[in-house]
Amino acid sequence: MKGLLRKDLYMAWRYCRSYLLILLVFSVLSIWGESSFLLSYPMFFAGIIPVTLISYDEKSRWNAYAATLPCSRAQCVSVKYLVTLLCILGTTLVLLLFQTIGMAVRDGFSADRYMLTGCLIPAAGILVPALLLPAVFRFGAEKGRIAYFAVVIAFFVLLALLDLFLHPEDAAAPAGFLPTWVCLTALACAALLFAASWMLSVLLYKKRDL
Amino acid sequence: MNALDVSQLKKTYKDFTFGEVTFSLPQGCILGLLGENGAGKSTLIKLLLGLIRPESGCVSFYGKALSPNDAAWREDVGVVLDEVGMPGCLTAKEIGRVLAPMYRNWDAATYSALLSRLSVPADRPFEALSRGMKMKLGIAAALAHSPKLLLLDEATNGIDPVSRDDVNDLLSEFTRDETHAVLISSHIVSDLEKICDYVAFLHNGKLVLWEEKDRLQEEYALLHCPREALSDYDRVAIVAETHTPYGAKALVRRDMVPSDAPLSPVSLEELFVLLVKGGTRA
Repeated sequence: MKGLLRKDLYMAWRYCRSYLLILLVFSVLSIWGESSFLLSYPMFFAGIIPVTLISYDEKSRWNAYAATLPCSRAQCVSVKYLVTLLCILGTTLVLLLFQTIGMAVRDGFSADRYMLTGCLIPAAGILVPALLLPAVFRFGAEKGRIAYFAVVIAFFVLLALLDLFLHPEDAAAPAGFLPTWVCLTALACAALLFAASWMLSVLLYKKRDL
Repeated sequence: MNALDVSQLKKTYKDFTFGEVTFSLPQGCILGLLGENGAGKSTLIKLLLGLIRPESGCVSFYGKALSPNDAAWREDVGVVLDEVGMPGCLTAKEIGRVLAPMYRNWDAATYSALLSRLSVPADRPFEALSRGMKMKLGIAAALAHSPKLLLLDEATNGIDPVSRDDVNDLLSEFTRDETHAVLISSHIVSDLEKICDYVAFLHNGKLVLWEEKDRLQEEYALLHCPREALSDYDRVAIVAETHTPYGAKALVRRDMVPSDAPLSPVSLEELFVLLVKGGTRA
């Protein structure tokens, strides 16, 4: 597992470096911007990094080679889920840092803003790989693209709804925010879905001919 | 005990059926797997490694029957697939760092020495290497963890003759340890002729022949004669035949034709071509 993780980190560093620039630009913009899009966009990209890595694995036929190494298929799947968690966690920490800076220089600290950045955005970010990865492990990155487009559309519809809810058109209405327990429940549900996705992917990948 | 025992291995696709295939690979031996494109060589190697699931049959590794999800036995197997499968952006040095924690017996010094011996640059990304270099890197990685069995799928294809000779020397050195064994598939029949102890011919997914190489040349010979003269010979003696405007060429069993028949020794390449093009009666 250590070798598999090391290989994915090497690859992420080589192929996904531009993501760090996206993260930095959007994080800096989020200091002044109110839109949750500025937080969700880099999170969305963080969630698809493992799918990008699988796509490169298939292109180089690493997936077949890895199946000849003394590691199980479950480990090959698990390492992609671990990379996903690292990407989501890393992105969340960077976004939280910039949000803290933003709140310090603008209008003071807000628990709602922390809930949005620390719970809702990561929960939405986890949904993307949780829905995509089983299809990708079953059908491959190429065929899994159909699922990819479906998930992308779903993600941005969810994002638009979230934005609408947090910033209603009617200026007279108070800017609503979900209660803390709803935010935590959303994150817990996303985590459960992620765990179920992981188990499903292991099951599907074990049966796949490489 | 054989290094590998394959029994009634079968896999059916929509347009291709592999098997049933049964053969063994004794310890200390190199088995050359021959067959035209699409004959099932890669399918066989993938079935052995569990990359694809057989519909029936079983594989034993040094007497132990393998189960599909058993990964532990791969500690003792070195593999080079036809596309090697290393990530394109990684250098040989980085590939060594990736593989090291995966194998109990990984020897970084051996890996480094093999890279030097095969003239593989350690700091160039895998995707920037020629096909031959990629194959050599794959061979270095396959040998660096002291495997007992090597499975090589078209591993010498694309390598220049001098480097191929180096690889053949490596394989011969590897099987000097009598507990080791190699299964290698290739189109380069002349190489297999040099290094193999056993030869297996696959054709349309079926194992046409599996035999000790020296016995093949003792048992079989080429018969050149006018086309009509072929009918003078026992049909059972003729394994395969082709016809040209100048006569007939047949692969025959030496012990089933008269001693004065116009026979010549058969090379592995001629045997292979005749078995494929001349149909088989075996």
